[in-house]
Amino acid sequence: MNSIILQVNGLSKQYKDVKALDNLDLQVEQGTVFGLLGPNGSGKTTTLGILLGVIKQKSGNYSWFGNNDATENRKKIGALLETPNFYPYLSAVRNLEIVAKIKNIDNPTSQIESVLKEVNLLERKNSKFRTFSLGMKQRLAIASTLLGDPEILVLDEPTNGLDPQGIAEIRELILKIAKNDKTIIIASHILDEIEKVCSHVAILKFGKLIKQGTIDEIIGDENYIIVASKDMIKMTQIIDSNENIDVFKASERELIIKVDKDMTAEDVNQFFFDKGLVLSQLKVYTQSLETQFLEIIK
Amino acid sequence: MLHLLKIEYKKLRHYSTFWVMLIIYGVMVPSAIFGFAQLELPPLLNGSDKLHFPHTWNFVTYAASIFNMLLGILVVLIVTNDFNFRTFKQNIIDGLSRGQVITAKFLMVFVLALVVALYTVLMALLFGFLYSDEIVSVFENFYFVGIYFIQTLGYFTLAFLLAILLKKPALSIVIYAVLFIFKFIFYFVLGEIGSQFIPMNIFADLTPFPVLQEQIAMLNTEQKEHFDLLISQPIRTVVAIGYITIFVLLSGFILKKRDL
Repeated sequence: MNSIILQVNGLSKQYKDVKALDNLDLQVEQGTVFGLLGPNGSGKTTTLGILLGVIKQKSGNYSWFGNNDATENRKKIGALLETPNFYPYLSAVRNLEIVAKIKNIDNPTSQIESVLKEVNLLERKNSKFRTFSLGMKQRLAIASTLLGDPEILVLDEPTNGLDPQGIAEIRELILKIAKNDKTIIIASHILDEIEKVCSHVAILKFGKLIKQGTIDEIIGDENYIIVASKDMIKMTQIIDSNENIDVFKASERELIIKVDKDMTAEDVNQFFFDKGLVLSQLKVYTQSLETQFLEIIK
Repeated sequence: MLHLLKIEYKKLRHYSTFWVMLIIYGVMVPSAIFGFAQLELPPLLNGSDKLHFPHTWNFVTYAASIFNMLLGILVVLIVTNDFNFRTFKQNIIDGLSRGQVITAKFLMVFVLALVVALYTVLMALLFGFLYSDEIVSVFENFYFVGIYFIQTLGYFTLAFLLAILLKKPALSIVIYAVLFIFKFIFYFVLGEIGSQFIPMNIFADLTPFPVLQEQIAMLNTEQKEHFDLLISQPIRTVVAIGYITIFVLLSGFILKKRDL
């Protein structure tokens, strides 16, 4: 087992009469890509804000690198929180020079060039930040998190404002970085994004941790299969009388059923045939994080 | 310390508003000194006599002090910018502590006050040497420069506190200006002595209207009474330093407590 790089204990935050975060416990192991999931207002950004020292928690504590909440920790973390924050009257390079200075990076010029290249902004390196499009601003913010080759990346909605190509590029970049045993924490409500890059997820709702585990654990042990037949009533009866099969979602023309992991589509077909029902449709329903997520936060 | 100052300077080096305001200041100060010197207003010294050493120091610091309020607006801008661009927040995320962020900003303001004081010394020397018939007692009354520096820092830290408190540039500038324009109201509320102790008056009176002691002596009793009510310069200086300390500590306290 890898060492714990972030430990969060009983974190709470209150905004006037809203409980933004309620006794949150998290553990992130080194080298994982950790997804923080939740609907809008579930406390993702509040959590990251506290972990990055810009929001004060009401109670609880956290520790990066086993070194508590020391300021120095953040120099080893590349973070993008909510929006790209830069000086509009300064060029991309000059903005990154300030970040490099804060992070005590000596002779940053070549590093700045390489991170700008990584996000395809090298040609615009001398343009002022205020002339950038939303997607370019977002890419500059991602470039900024890469400065100093940090041990940990914290990315809050990293693909915000990016076009499909940009989203794919950032995903590639995240996967590439993850290969070098770096830890990446991503907050997002775009489930597809999380599913494609994350190894672990935590799901928040109303500031509470609902579930935490590996992607496989969250997606679960069941198979989902779409079935249909001419006699839908008989089909429902058959399903109702068998405890190994449940209806996950029903519509007039078809049913999505939940079966044990070891039960294949072939088995399902055989099962109904044995009960005297011929299927008119049989399709494996691709189990996604989305299905699970919607189920969990219900 | 130097590291923090370098970070701040990187923010300002290519900020054109910063340089434009400094240039306006740089041009306005000598113009004002020259203009004021032409005025013939008893009980002032006559005309360009005001620029003779050692009166120069009192006169030049008085004439230049009005423009420190202009630079107070610049202070508001360089502080509120970091709220506006959410870069205070980003600086902390990137690895500064809240204490370092506020120290860096205050250091920059302190250096700006130093530069302003130095520039004023240069102006005083320039006008003094140009207008004095004989070069004697050049550095008599030089203490005005020290007091002037405290005054500048006072104006700047008040602007600093307002900017930290309000976060919005326009609102902070308006309130900063209103505090100075309508400070006479305090005269009616707090009385002649009490109103002298409000920060705006303490700072403004540090560089008093250039009146000579000999001239005060020539006034009639009734007129003299007004001068007797004035709090003395040492007390004023101590109170001013007190205010500056409070403003800086309060700004730091606010920024440390607040969510960014």
